[in-house]
Amino acid sequence: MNWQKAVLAAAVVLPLLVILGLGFKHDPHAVPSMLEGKPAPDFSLRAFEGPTLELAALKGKPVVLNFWATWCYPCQAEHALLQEAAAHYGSRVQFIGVIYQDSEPEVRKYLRNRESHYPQVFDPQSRTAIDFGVAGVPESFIIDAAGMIVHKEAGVLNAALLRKTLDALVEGKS
Amino acid sequence: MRMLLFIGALLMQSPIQEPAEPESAHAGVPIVETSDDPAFLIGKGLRCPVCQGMPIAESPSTMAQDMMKRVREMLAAGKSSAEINDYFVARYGQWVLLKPATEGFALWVWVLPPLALSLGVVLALMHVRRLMRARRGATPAGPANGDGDADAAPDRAATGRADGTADPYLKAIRDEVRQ
Repeated sequence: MNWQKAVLAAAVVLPLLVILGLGFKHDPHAVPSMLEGKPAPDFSLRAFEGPTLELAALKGKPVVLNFWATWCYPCQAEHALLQEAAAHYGSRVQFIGVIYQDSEPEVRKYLRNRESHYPQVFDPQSRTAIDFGVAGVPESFIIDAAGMIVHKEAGVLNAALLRKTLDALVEGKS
Repeated sequence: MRMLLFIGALLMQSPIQEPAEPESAHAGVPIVETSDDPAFLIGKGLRCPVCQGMPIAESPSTMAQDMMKRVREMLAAGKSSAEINDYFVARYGQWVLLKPATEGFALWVWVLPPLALSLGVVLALMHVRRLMRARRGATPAGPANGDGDADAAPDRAATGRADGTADPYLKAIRDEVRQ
């Protein structure tokens, strides 16, 4: 009879251990990326300096959309990376900074001493952030020339991944 | 003294910096935060992405408040609660619903706990029955009618010596009691 008890115990315990093991691989606080492979939601936002920017008007070239804020330290850490990438790709890729839950005076003060190779836009009431499923900053979306979201990065962008993805998009386009 | 403490607490409040909102907020959408307000009820079922243990109807985060504004706008535009939930699920995943869906893989969240509890109760009952049966088997049977031979086996079980024979002394006492 003992082997039957052992089999029954194993049948109950093993699946639970498997589920527990799978659970450890998953970050319970991570918000899922639901829009990868889907069309990027359109927006028309007031630029910090310049005309209103419409996403639909940018179809035809890859876009990097970066949600950030002046009060976000990781955003400050990736600012230089984004500026360098924008300078490198020039007109081949459009970079856009979406200012997330911040004030105009603070943004003006922040950008005064920092280079900015691409437009920054305001997102009132976080409409665009909610449309993109943003849970916090920094979050970046890489959109291909057809307007499809190919990658979402929550947290500081990885330079190698950014370069690899953009090179593929630019080469694929040309 | 209490008044001084109250005034001190008021003075220590740090000013809240609100993000610039060049457009006016949800003009024409009434804000009524009562327990029967439809937006509040929908907001109670949506998880705040910042304060992840709280619904957006109760979270103090700016993101939660902006999401509530979006809920109110969608209600004012005639969207149903199901459509509003679908909108947020399409962007944040099933995770955004505080109550898991009752379909697909999420159905297991509802099914597994009562299933596991029922299985546990069944196993516990089986174990208790087994213990009771074992205890009954170890307890000797009581005296039957006065047949000495019929009593010999139970006597041996109760008073058996190591060699398997009954204790004659105890057997004599039992026979006398029965008489």
